[in-house]
Formats: sequence, structure tokens, C-alpha cells
Amino acid sequence: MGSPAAVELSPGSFRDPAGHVIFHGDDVLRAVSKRRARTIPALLQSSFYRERAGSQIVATDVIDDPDLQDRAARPGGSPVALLLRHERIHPITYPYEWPFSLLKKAALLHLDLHLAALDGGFHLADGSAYNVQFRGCEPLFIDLLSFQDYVPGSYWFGYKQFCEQFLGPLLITAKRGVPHNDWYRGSLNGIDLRHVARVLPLTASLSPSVQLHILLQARLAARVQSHDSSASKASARKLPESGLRGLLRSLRKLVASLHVERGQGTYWREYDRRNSYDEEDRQAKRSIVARFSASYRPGTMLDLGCNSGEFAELALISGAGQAIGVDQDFGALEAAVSRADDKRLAFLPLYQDLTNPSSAAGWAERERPSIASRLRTDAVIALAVLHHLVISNNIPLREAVAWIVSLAPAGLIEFVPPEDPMVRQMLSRRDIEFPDYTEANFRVALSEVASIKAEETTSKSGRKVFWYEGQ
Amino acid sequence: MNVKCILVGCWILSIALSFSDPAYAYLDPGSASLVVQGIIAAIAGAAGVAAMYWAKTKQFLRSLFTFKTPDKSPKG
Repeated sequence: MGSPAAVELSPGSFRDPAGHVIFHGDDVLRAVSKRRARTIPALLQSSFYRERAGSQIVATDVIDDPDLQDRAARPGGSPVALLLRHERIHPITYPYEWPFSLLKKAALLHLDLHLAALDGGFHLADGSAYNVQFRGCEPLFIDLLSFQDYVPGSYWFGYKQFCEQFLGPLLITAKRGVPHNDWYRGSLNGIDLRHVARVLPLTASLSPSVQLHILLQARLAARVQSHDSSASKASARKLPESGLRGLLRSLRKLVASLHVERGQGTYWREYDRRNSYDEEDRQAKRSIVARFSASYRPGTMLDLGCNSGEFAELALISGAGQAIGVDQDFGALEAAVSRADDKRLAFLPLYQDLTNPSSAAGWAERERPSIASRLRTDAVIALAVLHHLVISNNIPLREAVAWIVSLAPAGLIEFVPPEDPMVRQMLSRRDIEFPDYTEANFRVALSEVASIKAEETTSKSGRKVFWYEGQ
Repeated sequence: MNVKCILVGCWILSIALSFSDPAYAYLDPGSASLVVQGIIAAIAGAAGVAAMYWAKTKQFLRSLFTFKTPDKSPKG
């Protein structure tokens, strides 16, 4: 008999004293304190939970393992009274990686669950975007401990958190056209409402809902001078349930009304339609993607520079289990989410700048792990990406190739030659030369870290897609 | 319609409040959000009551202006 699997504490799960997440082998477990252990079984048996388990709320069961329960305690912390096992979600993603439409879906799920929870005698204690994860583009609420027994008259202590982590970021994107992602990544716990208030256009402040949820809250917060007993006086008054429901419905209506500018098509969103490939070239590229996916049937396929997700969709149809697409373009990501929704694809488009991917962040730089450490990818496709890394960002060719190969055991990389019209145009805008950017050097760089299995010319200009396996 | 009027009225009030001497100047930011919840709850409550009265008023007016059609069903 082997030694029991190690228990690993999730570094991001420390804020809630009622419990924490641990990893045990392939299982994701939640250790619950004595205080909450009494109420969780009632939640698990409620129709509110059972009707939504696995679809809107993470599927969960109780584990009866006293030894594991002892080992699940936080070092120096109180004993664990109850152990829950959650369905495992891969990948774990964060709100600063979600396109606008996914953040909006997560916000609506949060509000809908809160309203439904009230019907069942529960309420949501917090308003954290990190409590939502995605399977494809479908949101799932993952923190069972956020549901607590509703005490009539109580306030929603997560209201400010919800406004900072959902409403503010959605508003700056919808009303200002400033994607929330980079700002959010620098401000992990949400965007300060005083800052949101400063950047919203005057037209946004004409909305009574924006006035109340953002501007009034921001103004009151800005006038805080010190802690005082008056603070407790405010919370001593009761908040009627009808008032809480009104608040939630008002937020829901506001969130549902937010859209990104449809007419504001960005370059890459239009790329599929305007690019210079002819149909024959396109089919050649599609053919190698389909053969590659059918050959490996990767559980998780990563599509670097996914645009609107055409090749991710093809990979899924051809045998990939799920696809994760990363792109930096706001419009392309919105088009990709629409594609995933319309065709019900297991495809999750995420915002990433390939030259600056999500790094480890938060408390002790461990609270929010880097995206590379959260992804387990079986295959990667990098079509028309390499020349952007090398020519637009000056990443040395060998480093760029080695980095792409490091992401998965096998993949496809497209090499776009210097003679290609797109590369010629890029080079014409640069005052430096890229003499090393040649197909021969690319082959050397790829052969240093991988073995080339196949290659296919995909355009008359000499673009080639290389099929490789890492060493 | 009247619900909207009340909302707009409360909104104007909220702006006026926020420019006047702050009544909750000492509260911490979390408490500011509790105050906002209280205000929104009051608006939601007022809107709910107004909606109920408006529905009753509409029903009353409708009953005033609706002529009863004579009962033509055969008797006996």
C-alpha cells in the first residue's frame, strides 16, 4: 500500500475563515469550519442547490474520511469539521482574463443565483468575481460557502465588492470603450468606484442606476474621514427583503443593459473577412488543423491568437475535447464568445497579451497563480502568430519558437516568410532589419526543441504550417 | 410611468444629497455601501407601493369609463 496522496493548500483560498480549498491527488476539496459545517448539509439538500448543481453551481458531495479531514486543516488553524469534494474545473481563469461578455455573464449568474437563493431561504454573502469559473463560455458558481442562511433584515455585505469586481469594470468597457482587463489585472480586488466615477462619461451619469450604484457610493466613500460609531448606526437599521430584492433587480437590469459597441469592429474582428487568403489557401490551413486534431484528439487545445475562433472550432469538430483561445483584441474576443455561444462549443476565449501573459499576483505573489501554471494543454496551435512576436515585438526568433513549443507536447506553428505581403507591410513600418527572420533559421530553432512531423504550404506567398512534437 | 417619475425624483434627491453636507461623513467605505443599499431599498419600496396604487387607480378609472353591456341572455 502506497503512502497517501499529499494535501496541498490552495494559495488563493485564505480570505474566508469558514473554510479553504485543498488539492488532494486529482480532487479539489473544500475544508469547512465547525461554524459552517452545520449549515452546509441543509444547503446541499435544498431544492435551490439540487436544481442547479452541475449547471449553475459546482457539483459537490460530502467526503467521509476522518484521516483526510485531519490532514486538511490549515497549519496552526482550527480543525476541519466537514470535507466537501467539488467537480474539478480546468482551466481556472480570472476576471481580468475574461472578455467583456464573459464578465457580464458571470455578473448575471451571480445576481440570478442571489435572487433564487432568497427564494430558498439563503443569500449570497459576498460579491466576488473569483467565485465564478467558466466551462466553455458557460459560467459556474464555485464557492458553496458564499451561500448562507438568510437572516431577514440583513444587508448584502458583498454589494460594494460586486460593484468593484463586476459593475465598475463592465461600465468602463461599455461606456468608455476601455477594456477592463489590464486595469483589473493591476487591481486584483476590483476597480475602485471613485476611479470608475472619474472616468465614466457624463452621459453615463444620466442613468439613475449608475448614479446610485456607482456615483453616490463613490461620493460617500470619498468623504470618509475616520471610523466612527455612526458606522454601526447605519448597519443597525434593517434592510427589508423587498429592498434587497429591489437592489438585486436594479443591478441586474443595469448589467443586462450594458453592451460593447457593436459598430466598433476592431481590426482582427474583421480579419476573417478581409484577410488576403484565397479559398484554396484557407482550405490547406484548415486541412492540417483538422488532421492534427484528429490525430492527437487533445483533451485541451490552446489556440494562440485565436481571432474569432475559426480554427478553435475546427479543432473541436475534429477531435479536441476543449479549446482555450487567447487573443489581445477586444472585438475578436467578443466575436469568439458569440461563436462559442451560437454553436455551443467547449471553447473559452481569454484576453492575453502573449508578450505579457498573466503572471502570479496578489498576496505573497501566490494568491493568483500565473496563467502558465493554471493551464494543462495537450496541444497548441500558433497560426500567424510568430511574425507578430518577432517583428512587432522584437522577441528573438529562437526564444519565440522555444516558448511556443514549451506550452504543450505537440503543436502547429505557422511560419510566414519575409516575402509575404503582411510581413512586408510590417517590415516597412520598422526602421530596423530582421535578417535572422528566415525559414532556414526558423527550422533550426524549431529542430532544437522539437521534431518536425509534417509541414504544409498554406499560401502562394510561401506560408507554411509545421506540425511538431516536443522533445 | 409614475414609477419612473419616482425613480427620477429619488435620483435627483440622491444627487442633491451627495452635494450637500455629507450626513455620513465618518463612515468607512463599506458603510457607505450600506447607506446606498438603504437608499435603493427605500426607492425600490416606494416604487413598489407606487406601482400598486397606480394599478389600483387604473383599475378604478377603467371601471368608471367602461359601460356595462346589457345582459342579452334569455331569461327563464
